[in-house]
Amino acid sequence: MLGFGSFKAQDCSGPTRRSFIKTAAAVPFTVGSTHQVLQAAQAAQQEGRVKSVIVLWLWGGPSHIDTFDPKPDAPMEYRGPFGTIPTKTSGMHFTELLPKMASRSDKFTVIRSMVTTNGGHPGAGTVGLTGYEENAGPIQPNFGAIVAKDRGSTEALPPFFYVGRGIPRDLPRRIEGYGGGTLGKAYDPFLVRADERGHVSIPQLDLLEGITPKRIQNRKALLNQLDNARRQLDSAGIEQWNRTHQSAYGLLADAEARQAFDLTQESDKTRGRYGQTTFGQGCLLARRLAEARVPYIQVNWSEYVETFSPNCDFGWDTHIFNFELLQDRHCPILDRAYSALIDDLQDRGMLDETLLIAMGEFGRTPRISNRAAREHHQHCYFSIWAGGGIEPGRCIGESDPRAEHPITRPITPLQVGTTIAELCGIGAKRRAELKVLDGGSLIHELV
Amino acid sequence: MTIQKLIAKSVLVLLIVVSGTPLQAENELHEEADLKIDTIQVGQPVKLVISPKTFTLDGKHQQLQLIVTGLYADGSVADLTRAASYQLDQPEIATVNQRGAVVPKSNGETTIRAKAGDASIEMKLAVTNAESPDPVSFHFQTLPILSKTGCSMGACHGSPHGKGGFRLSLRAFDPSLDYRTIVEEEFGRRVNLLEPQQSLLLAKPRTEIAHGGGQRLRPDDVEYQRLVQWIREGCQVDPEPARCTSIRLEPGEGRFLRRPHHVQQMRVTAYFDDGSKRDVTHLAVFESSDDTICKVSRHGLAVGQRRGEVAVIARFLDQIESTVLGFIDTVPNFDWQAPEPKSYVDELVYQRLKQFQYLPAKICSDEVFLRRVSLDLTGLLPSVEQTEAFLADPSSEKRPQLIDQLLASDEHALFWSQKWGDLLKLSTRQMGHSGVLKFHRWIKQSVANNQPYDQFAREILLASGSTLSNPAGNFYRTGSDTSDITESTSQLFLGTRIGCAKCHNHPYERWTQDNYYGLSAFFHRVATRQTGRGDEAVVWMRREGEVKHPVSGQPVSPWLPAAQEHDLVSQSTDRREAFAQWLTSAGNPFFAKVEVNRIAAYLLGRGIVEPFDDHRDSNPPANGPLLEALAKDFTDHKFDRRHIIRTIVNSNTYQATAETNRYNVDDARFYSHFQPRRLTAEQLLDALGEVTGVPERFVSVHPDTKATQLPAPDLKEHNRGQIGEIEFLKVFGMPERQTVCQCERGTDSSLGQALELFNGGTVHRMVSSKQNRIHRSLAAGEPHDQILKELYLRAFSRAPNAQELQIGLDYLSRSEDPGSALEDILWALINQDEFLFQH
Repeated sequence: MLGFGSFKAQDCSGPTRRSFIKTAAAVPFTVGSTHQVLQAAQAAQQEGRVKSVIVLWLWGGPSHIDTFDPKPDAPMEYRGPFGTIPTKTSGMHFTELLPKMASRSDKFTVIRSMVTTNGGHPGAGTVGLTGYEENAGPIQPNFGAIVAKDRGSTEALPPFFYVGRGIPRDLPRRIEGYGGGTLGKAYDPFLVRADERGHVSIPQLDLLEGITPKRIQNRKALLNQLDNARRQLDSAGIEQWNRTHQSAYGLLADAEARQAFDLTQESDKTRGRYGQTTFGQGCLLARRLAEARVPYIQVNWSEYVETFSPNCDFGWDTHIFNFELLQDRHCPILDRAYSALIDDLQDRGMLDETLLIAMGEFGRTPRISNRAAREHHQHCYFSIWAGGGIEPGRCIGESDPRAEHPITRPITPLQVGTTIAELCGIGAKRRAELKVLDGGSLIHELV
Repeated sequence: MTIQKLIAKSVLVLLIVVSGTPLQAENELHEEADLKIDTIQVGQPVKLVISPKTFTLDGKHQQLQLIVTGLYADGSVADLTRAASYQLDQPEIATVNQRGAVVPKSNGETTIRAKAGDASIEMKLAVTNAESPDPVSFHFQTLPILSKTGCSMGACHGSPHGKGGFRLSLRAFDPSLDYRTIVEEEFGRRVNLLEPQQSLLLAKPRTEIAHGGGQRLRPDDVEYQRLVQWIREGCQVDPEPARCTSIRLEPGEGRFLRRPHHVQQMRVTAYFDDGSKRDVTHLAVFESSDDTICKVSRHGLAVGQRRGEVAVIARFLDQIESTVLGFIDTVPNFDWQAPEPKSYVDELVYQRLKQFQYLPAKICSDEVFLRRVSLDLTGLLPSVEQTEAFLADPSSEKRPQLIDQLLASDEHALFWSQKWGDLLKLSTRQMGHSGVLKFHRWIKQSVANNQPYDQFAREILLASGSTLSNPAGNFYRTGSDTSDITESTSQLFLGTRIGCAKCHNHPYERWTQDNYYGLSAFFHRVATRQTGRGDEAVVWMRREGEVKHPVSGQPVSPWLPAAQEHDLVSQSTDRREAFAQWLTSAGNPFFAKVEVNRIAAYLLGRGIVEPFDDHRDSNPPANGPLLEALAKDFTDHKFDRRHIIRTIVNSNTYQATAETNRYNVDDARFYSHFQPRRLTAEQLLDALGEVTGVPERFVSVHPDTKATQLPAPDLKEHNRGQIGEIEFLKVFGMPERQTVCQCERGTDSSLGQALELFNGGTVHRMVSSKQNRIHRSLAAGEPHDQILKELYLRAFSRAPNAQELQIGLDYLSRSEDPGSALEDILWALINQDEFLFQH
């Protein structure tokens, strides 16, 4: 009756949506007695709304077949040199490059049936971060801007952060969908850079020439004095502005307000666990920001997609030396940082109220190129979801034997954004009010 | 893993699938027990009125809600429906329950007499078919119940994908689909004909089985019992249902209730195309436009919460009606006093303020007025010379004179063109560089010449040919298809956000999907093509082509609200003519109101209808008579926009201070005082330039062009991706002009903005530039107090008070470097709310 035979959500051989829904509909008849369990779970879900979202943006297009969707039985010109290892999720294998994540796969859920509509970096980046093509009309807001708008920005910290590297770009230009889009620049992300030694810099807080903290304090004191010298107006707008002004002053001049950014507060051991890399230290910073209840944090793997162009910072765009780079650099960095982050979130009891997603803008061609590497592949890639009340330890969706296309229902970036919004309590009506994510549907398995 | 664990685990997974988001406030069912209702004081009504006077209840499940109103000697009214006692001549015919609803018992006729105090009144009731079977109607009972209990609302099963695999059409607009979904889909599991109570359709909403939507029905609810009966009767669908053609909501508009009389029973009557009518109060969905002023119970009892006015909306199937109720609380020690009204604007505003017992603010000072009106009419701060001359002018007519002078200025035309630039989406992305410049010049001409608004609208809507010779045609390049143009047009000129109706009947107002495509039909044949000559495009009309209804697939004919058949036909092959003719005719119910409301919103900081481009029944105007009067004045003056601006700006209402008193501090709707608002991005940048004396220069326009005069946010050199001075404007909310929604202009304050003022490049450059005013004045040897006075005049249009001057001079004297100290003072001035806000 329950149809577990076809509902194989636990073993990664591809549940169909039909079997899933059928089971959903059938269960109430058979297990009405677990009613109380259900209600408790339901209450938990409603209260446990996601407080922070952390998106690990793997810029450049990480190879899916060499990481989370290996195909050891595919022909040689596809499968690549890496062996596979079992994970804690029965039936799911990763390549040997990700041993730490494999041993923690009971903490997250992998989607292997992602597809996108654009095969170039800036275009696919915008699709990946907003759900829509750049030329489909006005540039839509980054998912983070939507959450920021919904939560409001009266707290001491900005509601939407970019961490690690700046606005993702390829050489000619940056992603259009990086920020506020139709919601306006007020919802652009607030950039905090971190380098591999964990040194944090915040461009907006870098004092301009001729300005010192002392001078800012003097100015603020003078402003307060002048404010007191005349009658103040009562108005909600002015009050809101004054709060915002105070927060800005805090960030600029108040060491305590800047603590969330200060990685020296963490032990060397902790910092070491994340890895002495930009991405690793960025993940640690993201955890601190989530602890400070920042609603949306996007950790950028790199600012540029490229791997070897001058002045670039080794994105996942591995048109050459794909296997060497994945093995020696990218995968170890990701494996270590992701594992440290998810362990920390869990140990601190934050995983339920934090939604952690890792994804790039597309995958890479499963067929190995004549440069012995892989090119862009928009027809199949992965995303990894943890926390936020999502049932972990699953694998959703399945790709064909060569990892070229999903054989289950394809899942799109628009669905990713809609699901993030829904998990943050931004329901269909609110989305319509904000005029965002129009036409987006949920990833049913996650909500 | 044991089987139990396996089941429990999978159930948890599934639960997440079935439950979804917590319910939102939409369609909240208010139980009367949860509402705080004061005891109704009957007192001594002079007279009672009962509604209806006669009625026939046909069938044993029908009901009739009575409404009994008491009229008092002081002219007040009270709803006594629940306080009255009822006597029937023939008590075996029917009973009246404690809510004043009549329930039939047997066939026959009777008189019902209602008594309250010493007054009484009668109505005549007939009951027929009380003994015959009265099967539940799928169309008129089952579906309305699912709608009333919220099952088919947008946040639940009415969403496009349903919830938990169960999808209903939004608010039951597709009955046959809903029938299949409920009765046939999932192998008929949702209804259980043998044991109706065990049907999934009932077990879920009574939360016997977990339900993401929570408890929506209880077994003792009438609605629940009707659903049980419908299933027991075999889920019958009405063979040939009559069509519900309209509903009526009572009482009608204009009822004001004064505490303790703060409740009002509503009644909804449905009219059918077979000529019958039924009381559907118990099946209708009620909503209030503002739950903090009034909540409406599931039985249609409106309960006032605090003073104010609301629209009560009733919905039955796809019909929607609304009415307006006012609630008045007596404010202790309220003593009405107001300045002498200047025009009908003040009279109507004061009327409303008096009614709701708010005290109007005093008239603002000359200094405040000058700064406020300059910012509103020209976008700019007054110059020091203007300020000194105005403040020194002893004439009592100087305010009207200043207004006329500002209205005639080039700056006014440019600043108000920018507002239209926002609305008409002028951007190079849409129409190219020269397209923007030409369209901008065309709009500026229209504003400068005070072109009648109907002509302005007609020229835009009917534009054809080359956009180089007829720049208004660029309007048709701002949308990618017929839908875009339909939606832009209705938002601009009808004040209606019709977009929802593209996919389903609009959930909050009367626009249906049919209406949407009926309007689209006027624009479907408009075509544009780039010619390749510069930024030119050609707009022309195709000879054929019909818009297709997405559900029926049939072509849809043009349709207009409240229009006659002949209104729909154009004289030429251009269908838009009929639309433009109808739109700009004097009797059009939308056209004038939408524009005067927009003007009022620009000037008063808040529309009479707010948001000002969201006119709908469920969003009533804060002052209906004022909106009507302005619209009439506008129409009578041949759509003279400048006349309306002048009328408003000359009123006490516009010239009220922003300072509140204890009798108006909590009013934000009725214009009792001026609402301070942050300068727009462009106003702020210009004001910074004026105060510091280092104005921002923009490339690709004349060097003297101010930010408030920019034709578009993305002129060539400001292409996306480049960071320049335009960045400041965007941080402060300059719109990209991608939608016609005014909401695109950001008014939210963000940390980025505050940081920009503290530590941003633009402000820093202006404040510290050695060429700025303070450094120039210092170099010229001007005394410090003189420099400070001038700064105040520029920033606030007033002189500093003694204390302020002293603080400034002390700060200077403590500092070793007067240049740097003056920079700090300048910085402090531009960070004061008095500078950042228009007040």
